[in-house]
Amino acid sequence: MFSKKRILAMFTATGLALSLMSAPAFAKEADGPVTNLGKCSSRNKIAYDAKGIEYKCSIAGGGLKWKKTGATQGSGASTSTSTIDTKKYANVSGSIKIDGSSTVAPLTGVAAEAFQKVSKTQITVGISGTGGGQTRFCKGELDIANASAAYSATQRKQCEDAGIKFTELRLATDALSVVVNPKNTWAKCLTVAELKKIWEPGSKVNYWNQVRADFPRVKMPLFGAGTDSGTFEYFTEQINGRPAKRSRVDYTPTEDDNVTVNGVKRSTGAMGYYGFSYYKENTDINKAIAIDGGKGCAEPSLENVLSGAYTPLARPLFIYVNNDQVKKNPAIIPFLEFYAADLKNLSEKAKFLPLTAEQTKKLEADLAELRKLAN
Amino acid sequence: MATASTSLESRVSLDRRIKDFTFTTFLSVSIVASLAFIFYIIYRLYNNAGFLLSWDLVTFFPSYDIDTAGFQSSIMGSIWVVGFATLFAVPIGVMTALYLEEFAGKRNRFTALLELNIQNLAGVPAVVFGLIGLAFIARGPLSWGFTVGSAAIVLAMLILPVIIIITREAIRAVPPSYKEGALALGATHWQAVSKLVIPSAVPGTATGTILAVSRAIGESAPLLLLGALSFVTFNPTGLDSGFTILPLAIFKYASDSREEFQVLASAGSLILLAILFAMNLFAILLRDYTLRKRNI
Repeated sequence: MFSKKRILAMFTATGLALSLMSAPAFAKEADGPVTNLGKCSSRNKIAYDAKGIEYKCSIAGGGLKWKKTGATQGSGASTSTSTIDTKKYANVSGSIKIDGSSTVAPLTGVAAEAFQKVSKTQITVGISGTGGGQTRFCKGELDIANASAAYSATQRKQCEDAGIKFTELRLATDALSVVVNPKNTWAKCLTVAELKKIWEPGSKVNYWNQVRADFPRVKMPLFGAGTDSGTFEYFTEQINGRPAKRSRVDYTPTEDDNVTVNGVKRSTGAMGYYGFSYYKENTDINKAIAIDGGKGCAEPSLENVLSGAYTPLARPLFIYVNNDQVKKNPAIIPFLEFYAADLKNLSEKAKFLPLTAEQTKKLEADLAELRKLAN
Repeated sequence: MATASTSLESRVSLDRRIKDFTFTTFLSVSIVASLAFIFYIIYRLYNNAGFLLSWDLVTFFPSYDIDTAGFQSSIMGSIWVVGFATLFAVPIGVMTALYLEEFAGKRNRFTALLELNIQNLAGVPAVVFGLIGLAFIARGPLSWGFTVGSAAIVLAMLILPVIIIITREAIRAVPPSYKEGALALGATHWQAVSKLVIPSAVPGTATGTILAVSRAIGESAPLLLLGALSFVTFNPTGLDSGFTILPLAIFKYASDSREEFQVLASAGSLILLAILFAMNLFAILLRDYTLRKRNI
């Protein structure tokens, strides 16, 4: 029934059809800013123009286009901005298992990616949420757990009961951002009381004019963090009050903040909340609103977090390290050292707010304790 | 021949010819519709991400930087997991089928129970196998952790019933006269089975196995529970290694809020489709080859 000839014919036809379809794709490439850089044919290709300014071939608007990197020829700035000595990690090997908060994952992920390039380690970074990570961490399945909220007394007890001793490290600061669609021109600043009215359990607010009378009557689809998320825990505690984790339930919950970004992007009246780094990545499709927590309206930004004006949604981000694993797994300490040493650069890359000098000192002290434990 | 059929057809009533025409048209429309659907998907993906198709996709590892993000560790992860799953499932599946068809003897309560169980297993949703794997292999008695080994066993459980059923069909399709002839000439039961039944059943078994395996490659639900949805930038190095798989790497990129990563997800889907097509083509060629070899 399927002779070789027939199969060959089918594949030739498929190939022909595909190459016909590809015609528009190739045409798009030519539309890009044609300079003397040559063809932008593969990602991550570097080229320099006549003035020695560096360009990188990148994905943009359905094709590959040259993008300025800001560096100049010979400066080498684009390849590595980190100042730490990476050679000493070349012989570090072993595997590190990490899971937990999807808010912290980009930071730890960028660190893991960079560390694996300079060492022989294997690092997996999961995204099952602060709660999901904590469950695995307290079963002893993980070396490190990401957390976007400090573990509660119950969670700590779960670890203790399982005989897991751990160290808490504060690595970055987040400004939990409340976002709306860019087409939303009315909501610029909301008070905590107004947010509570929207998000409290049993809330009947479904249109914007129910929040404030001068807002238009536009439907308000809500997107938020799932119950396993540290973001959920922190947001509900700060907005709806203690005990944490009380929220209205008729919204779209997710452990993956990207889902919220896309949801808010697609609907004019939508509102959602997630970590600052996701906002920084998506300022063109989501708009953060200022929060009035009693000290006046403040937008989520580095200055407002450091000055304490962005209250109450500025929060610390943590990783938890399994103390016994530190003794058993020689890869953990070098990874943490690398993570801490390059933290400023990594935070910038992953768009997190860096630690203050005081917080950095605390981190170094905690790390020294861990190092003692390992020896 | 042609003239004979025309003269025959002319005697068929108009009413039946209309029925005949309607039915053929309906069949053609069905086949065109199903093909059009596949081609539409390929077209959409290609239009979206065709410009990305290059070896970069396969050689780059997953990354938070769009310029260096690719699929290498997930493709290797899929190959390792599915490869080991096949190694585990095929010998057990084929031997089970052989036992049930050739050596179990008359149907008794034991074989009836076995058969019922296999049929049921084939209908169990994939995610249930994932839960079993989580409770008994990754955690619990075996405690292998979220590794290639655990994932391979779970996928092996998933494809095992399919392989058993397909192999049994293939064995049943071997004409009984082959075996009867051999037995009449004084061959033992095992000689007849190993020299005649097994070789004749190879084409059917092989095709079925490859189809089962290509299902396993696209499967993501059970492995989701085994920690496959992770950021992994290294290829598996052993059964105890961490891993991710192609379908979940696609999912991770697709759910990223940045549009460039969504384009990358389309490119990944094209890779997955290409792998599936290649495997199905291989199954067809293998069947053709073994059939021809047997006929000579």
